[in-house]
Amino acid sequence: MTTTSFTRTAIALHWLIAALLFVTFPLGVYMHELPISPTRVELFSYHKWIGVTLFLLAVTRVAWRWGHPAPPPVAGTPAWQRITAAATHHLLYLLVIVIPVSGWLMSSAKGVTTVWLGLVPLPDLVSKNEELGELLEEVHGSLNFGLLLLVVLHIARAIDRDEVMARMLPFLAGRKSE
Amino acid sequence: MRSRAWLLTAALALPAIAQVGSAPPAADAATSRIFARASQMGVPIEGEFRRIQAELDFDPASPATGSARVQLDVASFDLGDEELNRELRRPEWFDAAQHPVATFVSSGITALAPGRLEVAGLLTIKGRTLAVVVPVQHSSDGQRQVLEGSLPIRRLQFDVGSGAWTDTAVVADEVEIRFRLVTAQS
Repeated sequence: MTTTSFTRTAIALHWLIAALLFVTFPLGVYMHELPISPTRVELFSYHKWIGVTLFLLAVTRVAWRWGHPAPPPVAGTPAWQRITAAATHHLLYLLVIVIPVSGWLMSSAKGVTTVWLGLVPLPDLVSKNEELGELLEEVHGSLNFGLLLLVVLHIARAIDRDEVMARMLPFLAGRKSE
Repeated sequence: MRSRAWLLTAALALPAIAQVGSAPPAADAATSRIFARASQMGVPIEGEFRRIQAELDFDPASPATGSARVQLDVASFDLGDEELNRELRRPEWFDAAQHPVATFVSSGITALAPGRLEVAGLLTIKGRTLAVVVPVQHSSDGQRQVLEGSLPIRRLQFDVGSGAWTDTAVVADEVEIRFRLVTAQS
């Protein structure tokens, strides 16, 4: 393979993160207005478990990328697009790491310890505090709205050209759109 | 507000009760506490019964002649979230309207070792009564006696959390009741 695509590990992490985001984002939107019920308890737990998993995957992804640089931008990409693409990617990494942290802190502030997969309790870095809980809920929601916008932009740019998409889907590499 | 007023009334009434020779001494409402802890999908959740009444008649020199009677106002159960507290008062949980009080009434006290007791008795929650044996630690500083311990129970045996809430994968069946009852030395 040439260096037109990301490494297989980076690709696997990317799509795993994407898939989990597409599950947990709508879950979060749906569940937070539900009345108290066993279903609500389950959905909140799954949302938090996926969130912690996303955090771990995103940290792994960033660490991996440190040692395995991204392939160079597709030839002929205008400078403004290179800059905005790089900025978008960095912001996406940042948000996929920061958003779960905001949710974890929110949960602690609301007095509910996060227990990953029902097995691994995360420490409560903040103690129960109603005002802080509500503030963090707004932060968590706003960051997610920002993430949604970036993901829409990210997908729009990627599907625009096969060579760009091929960086994450190498089987497309043969389909030259030039 | 109400619970604070209740505690205050109880605290003021305490010396008066203590002076009545024959009545069993009441536990000090201000320092006595009873908690219940459950697990919700692996997440520990604990609440406190804010209004409790306990009559404790215990002489360490003669444990077997002692007795204990504890009453909990189930509507006072506080998980630190008013929405959850309201939920817990509903018929599926404590059914506070029909069964406002949970009780423990001792039937016999056995001293196992200095400071270690076993208190047998009947525990009634939501109108269902079960015989239980409560391990209790006893300590005294000459002025006050402290009786503390914990009792694991199964909520479904008392029909607490019925209907959809019987799913123990969501809320575990096991509930631990922790208590610390303080009373004047008799």
